[in-house]
Amino acid sequence: MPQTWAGASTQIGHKVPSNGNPYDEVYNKGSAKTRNGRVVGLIETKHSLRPSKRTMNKSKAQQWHFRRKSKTVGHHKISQAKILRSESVAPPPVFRFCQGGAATDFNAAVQDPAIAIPDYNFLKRRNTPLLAFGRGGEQTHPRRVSQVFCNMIPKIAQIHLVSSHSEVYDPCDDSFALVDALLADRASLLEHRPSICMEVGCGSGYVITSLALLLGKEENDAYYIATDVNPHAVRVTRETLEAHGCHAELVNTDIASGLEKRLAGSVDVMVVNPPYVPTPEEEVGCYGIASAWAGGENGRRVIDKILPVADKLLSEKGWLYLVTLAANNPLELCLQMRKKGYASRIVLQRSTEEESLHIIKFWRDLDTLLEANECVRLNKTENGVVMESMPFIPLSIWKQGNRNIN
Amino acid sequence: MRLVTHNMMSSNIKGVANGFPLLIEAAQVVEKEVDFNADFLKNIFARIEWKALVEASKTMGYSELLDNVESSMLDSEEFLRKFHHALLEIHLEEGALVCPETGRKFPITKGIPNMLLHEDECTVFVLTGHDLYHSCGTPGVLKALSIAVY
Repeated sequence: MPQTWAGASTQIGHKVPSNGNPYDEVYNKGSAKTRNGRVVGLIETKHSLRPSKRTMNKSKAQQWHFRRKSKTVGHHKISQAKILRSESVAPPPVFRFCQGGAATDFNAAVQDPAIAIPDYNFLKRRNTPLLAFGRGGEQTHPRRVSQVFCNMIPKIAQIHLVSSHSEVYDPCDDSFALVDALLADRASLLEHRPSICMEVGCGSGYVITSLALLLGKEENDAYYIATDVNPHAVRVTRETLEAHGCHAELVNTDIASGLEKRLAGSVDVMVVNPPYVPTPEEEVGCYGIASAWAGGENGRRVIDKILPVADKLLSEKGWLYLVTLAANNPLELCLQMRKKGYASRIVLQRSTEEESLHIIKFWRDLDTLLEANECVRLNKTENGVVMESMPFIPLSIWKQGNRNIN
Repeated sequence: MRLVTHNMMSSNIKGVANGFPLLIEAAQVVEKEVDFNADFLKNIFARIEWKALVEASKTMGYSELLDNVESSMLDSEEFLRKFHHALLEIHLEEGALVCPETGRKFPITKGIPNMLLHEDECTVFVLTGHDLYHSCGTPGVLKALSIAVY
């Protein structure tokens, strides 16, 4: 059975040897070994591994970004990548993330893609040969597998067509995770038939382009709108959209300032990849690329600014996809949104060396709203006794026949 | 920037009572062909402020739209075509949007409107509970004027 990793980005990382300079082995030999010497390794650029004086003097957020940028497998990021294999190596896992958390039989997955959700971006980016196992454990032919995959994979933005700029945040693990979450939810999104889709903080345009492509034009022509506070980002997004043949309205504004009044209660799908890195407060809202990641205390400053705006803009059937870190306290976020009548679900969870990403989906739910109102009413009559009425379970997912089950 | 977006934008300057619609100063107008989709037009018709759209399209040089419309006109192909052209095919590449009350100009460069405000034009943003976050403005004055959002 193929082995699954909880966070297969760890393969980019390295096993630290017990003696000597931990970086020498990787730096000098130019290869990274992973645990038990079984798994493929990638060569890192030296910047990502050895903390140098260049990174030491920078702020924590910049260091984080600097290390992160070097690890991104983009068309211009990694200088050299080798895949090492030994005789006894198990083939790299096809599935990084599956609903339910377990690797499933590949054949079943081919018939019903809803069972297992391969990390398409990961597979395409890492150049991993697509090997898989049949029911009896025998390997299927790689070409047939990759052909099947190519037909199955819905279109998303291609990394080599995404524009870039020195002051604009390039697509990274968080962007890929968000797009993977959207891909996983694609069937529900198509059934949802959104008429207005919005992205706050479009950056390079990778996510809004992917959303436009995966929703397609034939069945569902929606009005796409993307905003960003960084003017370079909006320009880069425009170039990315043009390169993919998509169109979206672009506005250079702070979150949705200027659009809130007219779009109130109109947005059906909202996707946000906010600046979530915990940083010192003074780094929040700085001009330039730092505004793409600086999130203040617990990384929550900008998220807390965005959520009320999202509440105002989302329609009755509106959905919000939000990228968060474990450090942002996603549980507290969900509870906060629950008080306003939003049910929530973590649609994708991905752990890398440096961060544990949670993509949360929020949607308005009448039952949650009624419970929230009930709690408020009971709080008032009980003279301020706080009622934590139930443990945090998104109740909607257990209900049968509820259209909002996602 | 297409007129559908213009129809969704209003002035966000502090103290402005009604910042919609923004007046248009068109320096460069381009017409780009877009696929016609009747369903999309019918969906979005409900959200469009018709009067603002008519005036904006006249500023951009397209005066085919009628002043008064009813939803029954959506069945007419000819009307839909005109609606489609005005809403989606006329692009404002260079120019400015003007706040109707203060006269402040929001520049449009390469089709992208810049709605970023200067410090003195911002409104206060307040978070839940005891947490106060000032996007801009003097702390003393704004603390006195703070309004709970939640």
